[in-house]
Amino acid sequence: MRNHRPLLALLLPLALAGRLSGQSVADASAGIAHDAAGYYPFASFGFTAGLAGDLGSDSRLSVDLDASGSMDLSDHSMAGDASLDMVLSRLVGLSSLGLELEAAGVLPAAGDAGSATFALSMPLVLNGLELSYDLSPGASVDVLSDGYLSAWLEGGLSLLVGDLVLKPGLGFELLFPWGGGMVYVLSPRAELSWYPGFPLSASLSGRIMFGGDSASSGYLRSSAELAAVAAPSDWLLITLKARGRYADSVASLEASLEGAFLVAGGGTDHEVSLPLSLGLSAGEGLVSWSVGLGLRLGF
Amino acid sequence: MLRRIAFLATALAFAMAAAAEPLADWYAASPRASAYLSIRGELAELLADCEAEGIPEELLMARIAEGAGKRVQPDRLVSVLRTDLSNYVVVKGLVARHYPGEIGGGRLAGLLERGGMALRTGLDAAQFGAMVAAASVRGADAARAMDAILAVAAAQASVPIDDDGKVALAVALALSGESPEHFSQLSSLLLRGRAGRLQTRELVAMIVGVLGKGGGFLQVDREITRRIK
Repeated sequence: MRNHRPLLALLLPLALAGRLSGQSVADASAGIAHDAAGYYPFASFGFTAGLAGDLGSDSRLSVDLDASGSMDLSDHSMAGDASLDMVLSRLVGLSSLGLELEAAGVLPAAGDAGSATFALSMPLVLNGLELSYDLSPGASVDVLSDGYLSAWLEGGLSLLVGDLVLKPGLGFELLFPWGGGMVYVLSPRAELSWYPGFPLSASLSGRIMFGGDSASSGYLRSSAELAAVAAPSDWLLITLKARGRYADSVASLEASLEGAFLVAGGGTDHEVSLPLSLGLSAGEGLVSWSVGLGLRLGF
Repeated sequence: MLRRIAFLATALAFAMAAAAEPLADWYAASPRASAYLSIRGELAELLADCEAEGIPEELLMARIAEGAGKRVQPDRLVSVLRTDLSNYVVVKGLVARHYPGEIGGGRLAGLLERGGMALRTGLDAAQFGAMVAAASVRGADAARAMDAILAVAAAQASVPIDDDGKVALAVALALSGESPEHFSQLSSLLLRGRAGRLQTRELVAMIVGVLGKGGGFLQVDREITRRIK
């Protein structure tokens, strides 16, 4: 009898893919950025795909692919990242136990060595209608030369209070850089999402990271994010995003305001919209502004 | 024939007299009412029609007070009230067909009020009827069904949803364990997903799936957060 295992292994992803369904969004835009040194034309793109399907009555597989990139057209320098996230979850009553595999990469750029990480975790979610808990042990590896191996445990809860969802949490991570030594990180976090019942939604999240290693004194890093979205009509979506960071005595801020005008296919599988965005980036004494116009396709 | 006409005329006179009572009270008590003296007769006729159709007149009285509060022009108010009355008649017809036990019950005014609000937000009568029918067939409670339809109607005013999606969302909400107090959060949840570049159909499928498995908005929030992280 011939061994069909290699063939089956090849066909398994196709068989799984056939049971998944979902939608994708692709967008491309071009614009111009300005800082103290001058103007820089740029082009950017993004692609997001989400697939999900039931594998039996109480198991579900979801696959999310995300990629984005940008190019400075004046010197052709590029920046980009991509991630693939697969979650296999089994539902028991309202609770779920999952196995999550995530692969993510960041292209090297000026001041950033880039990364190529793979992470495996087992999220456990105990769900209730007003309160739910989550716990996720996991491990990750960055395979690049200045990468690391890490293991973590994260936990948190979600609490529905009126129009608000409160999400406090705590994570602990041990990180072993390829260069030697050990780093520990304790990171409390909190998120607040607001669903007021009219066409507006906002979420605010913050994370503080206390860390240290055997070679140097401890460090403190923090970050905060705000995302708000409003729809004055069914053809206009206004999104505000802002992220602030503080690390090594340096603060930085990135913010964007986007108005996406739906021009065709509202509510169908083929939506077309035109996003107009305004961006701000500030940090280390440099401030830059950007404005861009693009095309976004949903399919 | 003459006897029948006389009977109808008497019934109408009784209805107008009965309808005139809350209207007279409103004209006597409301400081804004004097601006609407020119349409007093038309308002009385509308309230009489309301009673003749078996629609609780407090629904129209509340709309009159609301319109006066917003200083709506008298002619415009009459036009809006006529549309309201025809909406209530549509909703009552659907309730009578799909939830006959609610006709004459204490919850009828609430059902008509929420149904009328859903139609005012832009749902057309055919979509509304499809949602009521689907909720009824699946065994949803009438009040939960009407709350769910109102939530979907409000959501579709800011996020375009196709007809099948509207029906699926309304049924899933009505049959879910989620409290009706939270139903209005649907529009905000959809918007958050849209801002995270999730397509509306995908979001609708996600919400219907989560609610169908016994979850609520907390789980929808968790799933959206995971997808847009």
